[in-house]
Amino acid sequence: MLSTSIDLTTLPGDLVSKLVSTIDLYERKETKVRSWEEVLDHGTDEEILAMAASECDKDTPISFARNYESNWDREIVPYHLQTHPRRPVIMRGALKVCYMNHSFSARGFSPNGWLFEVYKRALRMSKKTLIDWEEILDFTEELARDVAVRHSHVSYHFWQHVKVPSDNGFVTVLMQGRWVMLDTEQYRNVAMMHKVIRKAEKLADRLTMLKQAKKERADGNA
Amino acid sequence: MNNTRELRAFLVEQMQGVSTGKVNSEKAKSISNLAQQIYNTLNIEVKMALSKAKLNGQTLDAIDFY
Repeated sequence: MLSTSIDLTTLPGDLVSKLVSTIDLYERKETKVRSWEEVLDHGTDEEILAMAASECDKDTPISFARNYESNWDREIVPYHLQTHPRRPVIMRGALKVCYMNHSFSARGFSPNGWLFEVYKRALRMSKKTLIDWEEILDFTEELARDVAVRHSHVSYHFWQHVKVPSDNGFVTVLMQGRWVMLDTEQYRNVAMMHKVIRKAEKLADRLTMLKQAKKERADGNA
Repeated sequence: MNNTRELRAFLVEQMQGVSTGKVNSEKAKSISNLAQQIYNTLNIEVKMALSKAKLNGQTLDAIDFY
């Protein structure tokens, strides 16, 4: 309910609408703080959890701050009540917490930032060395898709971040799971070494097959 | 260096050296050229072994240029 001592009829229309929305926002915040105070001071645990659930997304795991020894920064209650001993918090280690801890925006809930961290880790752990641009694109796209497919609400921002990094005058390669920028000359050298490694692998396979065939023939003659 | 596994391991090491800046362009070029030559030699040896196996005990005389 809007309550003000200012005579709004004497003010310009746009200023009135701004004032109204500011006062409305303030009152809504105050109402929220009061209702939280009320439920934290006098409500049961069930009532607190129910109110916390109404503030969060569906299926967000909620617990009480008293269950944790250290301070927990993923609060549900308004700022003024973040020292209240009965306040609820989002459970530590929950996916939603991971989303929020790595969110691209200040208080965002989208999974993009977290998934980008997962993607980076997966890339590092793959320890892949890829030189060919097409191979790099195929590998990174598949990896990003694998990471994103398990989470809903993945948006444009994630796909922007997982693009292969580039720099003018340099060629990007993936070396042991890390991005490396090489000048054209060094890229050519590395590409040649990589080619020899692949060819040597095939050669080793052929050699093994040859040894196997020789052994089988020797066994047959014996 | 005794086999292809060691050759590959060496080349991977050199590639990492290039990425960290420890191996300069000139050295990298020499290494890649040398590696290519070692591969060519190995490839010929394997081909020879395959040919021998296919001949099944028979031999080919060397070509007489005189």
